[in-house]
Amino acid sequence: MATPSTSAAESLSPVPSPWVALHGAVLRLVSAPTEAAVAEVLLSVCMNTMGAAGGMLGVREAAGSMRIIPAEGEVSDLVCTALQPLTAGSTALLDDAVRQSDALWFGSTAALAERHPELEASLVPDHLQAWCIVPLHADRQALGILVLVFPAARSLTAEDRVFIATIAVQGGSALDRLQQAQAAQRQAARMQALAEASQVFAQSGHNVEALLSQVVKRVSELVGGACVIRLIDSDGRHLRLAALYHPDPELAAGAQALLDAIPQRIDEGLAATVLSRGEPVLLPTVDQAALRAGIQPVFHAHLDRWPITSILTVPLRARTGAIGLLSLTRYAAEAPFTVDDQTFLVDLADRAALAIANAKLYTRTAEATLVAERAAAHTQRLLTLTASLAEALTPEDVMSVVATQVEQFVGETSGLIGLVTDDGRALEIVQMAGYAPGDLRPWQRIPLQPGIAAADVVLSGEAQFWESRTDLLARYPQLVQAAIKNEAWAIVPLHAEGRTFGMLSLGFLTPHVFDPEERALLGLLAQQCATALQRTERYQAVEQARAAAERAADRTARLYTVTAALAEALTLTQVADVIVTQGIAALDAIAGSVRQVSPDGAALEALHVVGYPSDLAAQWRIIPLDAPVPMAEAARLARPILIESPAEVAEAWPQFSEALNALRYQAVALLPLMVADRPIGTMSFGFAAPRTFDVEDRRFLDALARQCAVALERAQLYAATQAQARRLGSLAEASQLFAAANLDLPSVLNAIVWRVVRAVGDLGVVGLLSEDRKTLQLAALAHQNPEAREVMEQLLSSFPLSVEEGISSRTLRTGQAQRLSVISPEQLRSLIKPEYWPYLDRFGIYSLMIAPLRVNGEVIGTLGALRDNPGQPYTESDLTLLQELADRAALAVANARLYQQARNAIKIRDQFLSIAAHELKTPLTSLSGQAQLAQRRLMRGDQAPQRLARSLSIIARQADRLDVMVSTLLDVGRIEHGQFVLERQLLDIAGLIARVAEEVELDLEQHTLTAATGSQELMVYGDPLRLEQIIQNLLNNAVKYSPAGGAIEVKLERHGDFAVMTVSDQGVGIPAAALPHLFQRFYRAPNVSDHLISGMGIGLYVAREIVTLHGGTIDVTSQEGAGSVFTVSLPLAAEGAGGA
Amino acid sequence: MTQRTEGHSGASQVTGPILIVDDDSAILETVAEILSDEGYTVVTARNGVEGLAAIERDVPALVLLDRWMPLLDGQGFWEALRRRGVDVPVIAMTAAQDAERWAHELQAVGVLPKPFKLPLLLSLVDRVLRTT
Repeated sequence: MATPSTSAAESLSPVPSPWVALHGAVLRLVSAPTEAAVAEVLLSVCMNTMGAAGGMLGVREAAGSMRIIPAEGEVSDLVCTALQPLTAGSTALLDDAVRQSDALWFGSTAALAERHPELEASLVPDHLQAWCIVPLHADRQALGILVLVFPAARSLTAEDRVFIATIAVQGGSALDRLQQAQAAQRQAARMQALAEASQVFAQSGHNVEALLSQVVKRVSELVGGACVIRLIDSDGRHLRLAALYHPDPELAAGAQALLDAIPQRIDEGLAATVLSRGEPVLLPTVDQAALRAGIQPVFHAHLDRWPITSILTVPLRARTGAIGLLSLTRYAAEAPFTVDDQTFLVDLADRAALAIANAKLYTRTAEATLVAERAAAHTQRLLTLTASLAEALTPEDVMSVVATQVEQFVGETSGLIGLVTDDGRALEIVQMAGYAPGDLRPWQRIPLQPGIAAADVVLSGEAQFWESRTDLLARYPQLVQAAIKNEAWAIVPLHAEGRTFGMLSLGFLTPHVFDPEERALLGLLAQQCATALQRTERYQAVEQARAAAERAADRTARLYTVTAALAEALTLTQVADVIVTQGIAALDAIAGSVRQVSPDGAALEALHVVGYPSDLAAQWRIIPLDAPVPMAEAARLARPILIESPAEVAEAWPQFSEALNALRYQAVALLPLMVADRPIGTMSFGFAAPRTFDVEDRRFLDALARQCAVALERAQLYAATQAQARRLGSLAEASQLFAAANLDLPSVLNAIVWRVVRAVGDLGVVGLLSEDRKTLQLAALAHQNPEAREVMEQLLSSFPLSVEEGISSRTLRTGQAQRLSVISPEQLRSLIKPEYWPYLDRFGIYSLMIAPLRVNGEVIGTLGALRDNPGQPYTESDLTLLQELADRAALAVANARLYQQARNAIKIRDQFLSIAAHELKTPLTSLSGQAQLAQRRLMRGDQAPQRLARSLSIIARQADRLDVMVSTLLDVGRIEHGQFVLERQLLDIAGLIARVAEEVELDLEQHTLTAATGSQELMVYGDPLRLEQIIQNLLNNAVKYSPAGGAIEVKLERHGDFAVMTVSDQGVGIPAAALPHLFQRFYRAPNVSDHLISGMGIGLYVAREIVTLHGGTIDVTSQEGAGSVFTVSLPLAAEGAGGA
Repeated sequence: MTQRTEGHSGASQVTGPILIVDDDSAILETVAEILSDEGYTVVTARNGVEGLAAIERDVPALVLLDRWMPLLDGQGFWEALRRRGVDVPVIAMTAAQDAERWAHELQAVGVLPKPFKLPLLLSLVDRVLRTT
């Protein structure tokens, strides 16, 4: 059609001819690269040449829809909108056009609406008046339509017809070309994709799971939609979901749920179609109703959310046939699957199937290798098992080997070995592995009765294999009761020597299929196990017999050792020591004690204790026999108490439990020591670990207790004999010593304390109450350690004990002896004053006794004994001995004191006689001398009367002096005999004093005497001679005891109803210590001898007697070296008292 | 302390006085009178202290010494004499029972137990003074 001239004309003419334009369009169509370009060419040429106002191109798509490509401009948009009811998701318009083979011409909109009533609503008549719908064909295939709209009603001309026919052919051909090209392109892409997919599958290796995941993902990516692979199950009847993929995980999950809901049998539904024919099934558009009908209503919600619109299912074909299905599903707005998709998917599925088949094949090969290897390993393990079991010596070892080996065979297990009991009536679980102890409590002993799995196995001698819990419970419903943790069991009998003697039970935590190989293996295991157990049983029997024999020999040896040691022990201490130390050794104990029943039978006294903390040992030193403690109970009930574990104590003696815990003993044996069915003591042993006391142990303990009881009794007798002998010896010795020590108190006391040290040790001390009974003064001290003695002596001297303090205060107060057998250091510190602590720190005090020294019921002191070193507390018999020594000491003290007093009296008497003689001889000397002198003078003829008178005067004065002295001496006698009497009368004491003072003053040379008696008469009712005697005595004393002279003063004052005379001097004074004794008979202050002042020590004695008889008092105050003041108070005579 | 000088034949060759030491004034007076009557020169002292003072003034030919005296007794007096290197014969004069022993301690040339016999006193004094 196109010519060069036309071309020239075209270039010349402003309005090109339709044909020229068509020619140009055809040229452009040949090279139009896209459908849009084709549309543009076709529509623009129609608009330019035919005057069309607009239009559109509709291209048929594979899935029965049409793609609309409008021309430019509003009109074209209106056309698209107007035709939408027949073009959107539909090919109705196209199909109608195609059926006509030629273009359809509608002169008006009404005409179009008439043919297509569906469009009536969307057509807008005013603007679009004429319509032309042109089918586009290629090779008789309708590829699309061209819709043209004209602004005004017009008719179709012949020229139009030709033009349109040409356009139709050219357009169809162009679309055909484009579609061919696209198909080729798509094919190439898919080939590429297939190649890639093959490569990817190949790279997924031999892991089927990974491969399947890869396949579904790849297919979904390449084709679009959710991809699912379902493989035929091993049963060959069902399909199993193997892999699923969709980019949206939520949708993927929904799809999976839905798949679970549709039939999975291979002979049902879509699967049946695909698999039976081995061909793909393409459902481009899904019949929703049919779909819903095939799915349970509960899953309809899935369809509401993700409405399945298109399904494509292809078989997965391997060399051996179909192995499963590959399905693709599209939803809602997604395009339906095409035949192309189907072709591609079939290819893809074939490759995937191949890869899957290969992977499966590989896996199976690998599994086969694995099985072979496992078989080899089994053999190896059996060898190991045999070897291990051969080394097993105990059922425990066997169980351990079995548990380990089975775990290696078949994974984690728990195991039991049960053996038929001797009576053949039950199965006892002897070993277990993999169970908590509580798990099996109800099954520890299984009766051998039918209906119990383990029992059935033993009774039948046949193994049982339970591959799941359901299976087991179906057979043994009662097992529901038990807490079963396992899911599968193998229970195999243990045979030996033609009988079933037990079973081996193995439990598995997961259901387990026991294949024949495993069953055989477990049978073998059981056989090995049985052999091993039989052997261990024999081994253990031999071992036990040997151990029993050894134990018996050992016990005999130990008992012999104890017996031998006991035979050598003599004293209680030795026996107690042997019992405890040998008992501990013989019993492998860690602590021991032995106690004896106290002499009064009321308590158990500890003799020796080893391994107890000292505070507890002290606390339990004395246990009353009626105390609710095991020790007392053993003695009371005369039977052993054997405590095998702390729990037993807690149950029987809750209060004792705490103490036992403190001791950390796990087991205790308490044994009464019986002699002639009478308990004489107990012994106890503590053990570090809980233990059982079997028959042999009990026999041994019994034998030990009997030996110990005999030894203890012997020792008690020995001790009693010894104590008696010792006491007698001590007392005899003491008496001897006292006799030997004569009546010298320090020697006696020294003998006593040494006797105490030797009899009971370590220290003996005598304290005597001071004269004022306020302090306890050290009188004698002995200690076998000279250093300790020195320290104690120093302390007692430096810090004398007040009667109120220390332990002795109680004895002093109550007169009772005390014994503190065992004193803890704390207790001691509370009892003893801190000054004595250095002794405690250095030497310690362990046991202590104090006995009172009593004379006529009065406590005069104490005898104390103490032991420094722990181990041997004082006993009651020690205290008895101490008291007896104390009584003797007291007697000695009393005797010594009496003797001392007597000696003092004698000494004083002798001294007095000597002094009295001297005193009497002094006046006698001058009297006699003067008489002889006068006589001599007379004989010479010297008769001078003056000299004679002088001599006679001296003689008379000395005779008076003698008279006074003799009278005073007689007074003393009278006073002693109570014959001293007064001759009383009313007298003026002031006048009497004044007169006597005057007389005394006459003879004074070195002294001055001042008398101040006042001007008033002071009348007393008294003996004038005796009162004068007192005044003279006091004044003469004042003169005599101030040998260097000085002032003497006598004063008289009235103090109330008393006349008070004081005589003071400036003489030698009286020592303070002498003041209390000054008025005693014959007493002279010690300082008179320093001053060489003579005197008989009777003047003041008589003076006090006289004053006292007058109802008065005489006192003295003095300062040594400064003088003395004597005060005499005499009651004044009552007013008007006469000479009665 | 007094000194009496009364003529007496027996005392003619005596080089010093006789010192009498006694705390009892009656005894002192009696003994002094007796010896004075016999012609001896007599010095008296009432205790050891006065006795020592007398010796300071004039060393006596003989001391009649009492035992018990205040201030300084016979023993003390005698020891003081010794310390001073005064060697004078002493006659112990005491009422004590152990007069002999005391006299021995003093290495006395004689002992005169109280109360004394006058001839004994005189013979003792005479014998002592004759031998010296």
